[in-house]
Amino acid sequence: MPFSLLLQPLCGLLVALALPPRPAEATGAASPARPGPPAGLRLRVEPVFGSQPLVLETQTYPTAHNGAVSLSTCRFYLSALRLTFTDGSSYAEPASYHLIDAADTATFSLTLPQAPGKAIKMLTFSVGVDSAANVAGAQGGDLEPGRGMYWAWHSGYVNAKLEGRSPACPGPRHEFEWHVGGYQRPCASLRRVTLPVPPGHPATAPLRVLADVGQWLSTRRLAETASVLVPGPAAQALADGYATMFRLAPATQP
Amino acid sequence: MSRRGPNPAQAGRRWRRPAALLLSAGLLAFTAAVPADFVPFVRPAGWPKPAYELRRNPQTPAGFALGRALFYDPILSRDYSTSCASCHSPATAFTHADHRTSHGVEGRIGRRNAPTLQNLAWTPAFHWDGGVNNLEVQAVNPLTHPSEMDFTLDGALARLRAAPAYRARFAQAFGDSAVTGQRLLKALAQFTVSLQSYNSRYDQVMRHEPGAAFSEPELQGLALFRQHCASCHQEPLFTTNGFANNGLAPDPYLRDPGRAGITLQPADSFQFRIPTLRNIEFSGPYMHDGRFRTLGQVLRHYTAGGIRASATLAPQLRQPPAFTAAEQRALLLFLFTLTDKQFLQDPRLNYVPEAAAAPAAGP
Repeated sequence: MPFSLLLQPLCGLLVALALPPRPAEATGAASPARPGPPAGLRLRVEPVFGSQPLVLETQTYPTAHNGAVSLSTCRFYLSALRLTFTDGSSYAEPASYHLIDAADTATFSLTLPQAPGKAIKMLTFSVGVDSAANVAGAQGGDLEPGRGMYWAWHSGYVNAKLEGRSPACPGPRHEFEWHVGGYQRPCASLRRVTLPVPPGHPATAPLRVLADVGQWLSTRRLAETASVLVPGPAAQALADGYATMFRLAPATQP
Repeated sequence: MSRRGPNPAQAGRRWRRPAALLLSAGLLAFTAAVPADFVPFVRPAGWPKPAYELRRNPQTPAGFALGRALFYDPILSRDYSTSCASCHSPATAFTHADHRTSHGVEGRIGRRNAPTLQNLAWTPAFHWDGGVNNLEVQAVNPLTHPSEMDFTLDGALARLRAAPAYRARFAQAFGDSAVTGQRLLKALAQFTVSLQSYNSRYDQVMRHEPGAAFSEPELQGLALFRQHCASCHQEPLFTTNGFANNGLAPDPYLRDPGRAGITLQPADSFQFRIPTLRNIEFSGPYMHDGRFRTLGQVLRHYTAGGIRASATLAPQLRQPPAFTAAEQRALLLFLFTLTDKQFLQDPRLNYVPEAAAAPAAGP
C-alpha cells in the first residue's frame, strides 16, 4: 500500500479493510437473504444548521433558546452503517467507522463499494464508537487516537464534539464545549439512528444525510449545559440530543 | 543477597550464541531470523490467562526492536528531553528510583509515583486509577501529559516520518514505511509486553529448580505474607489487579481521589490500583504518591498504627496485623526473594545504541 495513501484522511475505510482484525468485522454482512452483487453506494453526510449549510467561526445562527450561536468545532463519528433493502435483506459495512469533521469537507463523502445495488428501505447507523473498538487497543484509520477524538486518561473515544459561542453561555468568553463520550454502562453514549428512505429513491443514487446541529442544540439550554467533558448523565442527555439531528435530504443524481 | 543460578548478565549474553536458542523451543521455528536481542513474550507455566490479546498485535523481532528504540528515545517529548525510560528505568523494574513523583519536560512534577513496568500483559487496567483500558493506548498518556512528555501524537509522528532510520524500522516491523499512531503504539506494546519478571528466587523455588530454596526466615516470611498480605498481593503476579484504600491519609496538596476520579463513585474514593510486589527491593519509593522511601516505612504503616480509618478502607485492614520486629524482618527477607536480577539486568531490554540497532537497509 503506498505510503501517501495511508496519510490521506479520506482513506479510513481502505486502511480499515487492509489492517488486521477490527472489532466490527466480526459482524460482517449479516442478512436474511443474499445481498446480491456489489454495485456500490455513495453517501454524503453534511453538517447543517437548520436549513443552512454549517459554516464554522464566521457564521452566526439565531436560536430559540440559546441566543445567537456560532460554532468553532463540529466532529462526530458515524459507525456500523447498515442498509436495509425493500426485499428484506440488508448489508452491513465491515469495519465501519467514519469521523465526520465540519472543518474538512473531504470527510463528508463515504463510499460503500461492496453495497448491492438494490432499492433501499432504510439507512441505519450509530453515532459514536462501539465498546468493542473502545477496548481493542490502538486503532487505525479514522480511529487513530491522534485525531483529537480520544481520551487518554480515561480510555475511550469522544463520540461527538461541538464547541462554539453564544451570549447564553456563562463565563467570561461565553463559550460552550460538548465532548460526548463514554462506552461503559451506565454511561454509554452510543446512539443508534434509523432513517427511512423514501419509496422511489433510485437504487444506487447517493444518499444525502443532513446532520442538523441546530436541532441538536435545541435539545439543551446552553445556559445550563455549557461544559460537558466527561462521561456521565449530562453526556448521555447530549447523546439523546445528537440522535435526533439526522435526516435524509433529497438525493442529487450521481 | 546472593543469587543462585547463572549470572544474569552472562545468561543474557549467551542468547547471542546459537546453542542458547535451544533454551526456547518456541523460537526454533524461526531461529534463522531471530536477533539475539529479541525477547518474545512467554506465559509462564501455571500463570493465569493474560488480559492483553497479543494475537491482535503479533510480536516480531523488528516490531520489538522498534518499540525498544521508541521507549528509550526522547524524540517523543516536546523538547527532546524525556523518554519513556526517563521515568521507567530497567535497573529498577522500570520505575523511577529516588523520586516520589517523577519530573517530565522542564522539570515539571507529576502527581503520582511512576509504577514499575512488569508483567503488563496481565494488567487489565492501567494507572493508579485504572483509567486506561489497554496496554497499547497507555502510551498516549505520558506522551501528551503536560507534566510528562508534553507532546502530541501528530507531532511525534511527524518527527519519526522525518527520520529515515525510523521509516526503515517501521517498514521492517509493519511491511511498509507508513508511520501511523496505531503502529507507534503497537510497536511500543510489542516491547513493553516483554518486560516480564518470572525468574526471581521465589519463582525458582516454586518451580522446584535444583538448588533453589528458601531460608528458614524467608519461609516464615512467606507464611506471614500469605496470611496477611496475599489477599491483595496475590501470587504469582503479587497483585489481584484490583483497587483498594490501604489507609494512607489523603495528601491535602495532591487531593487525589484515586479510582473515584474515573468511576465518579464515592465508594471508590481513595482506592488505588494494587501494585505488584515483584522487584520491590529496588522499586522504591512506594505508594501511589511515593510517600515512603523504605520498605521499613511501608511495614510500619501497615503494622504500627499508620492505617487511617475511613469509609472506603479495605476491610482486611480494619484490624491491621501487628508484627514483631522478627516477623517484620522475616517478611522483608521473603520480599527480597522477589528480586529478579535476570530481568533487572537483561541487556535485551536495555538501551541499544543506534549504531548497533540500525536496520541494515532502508526501503
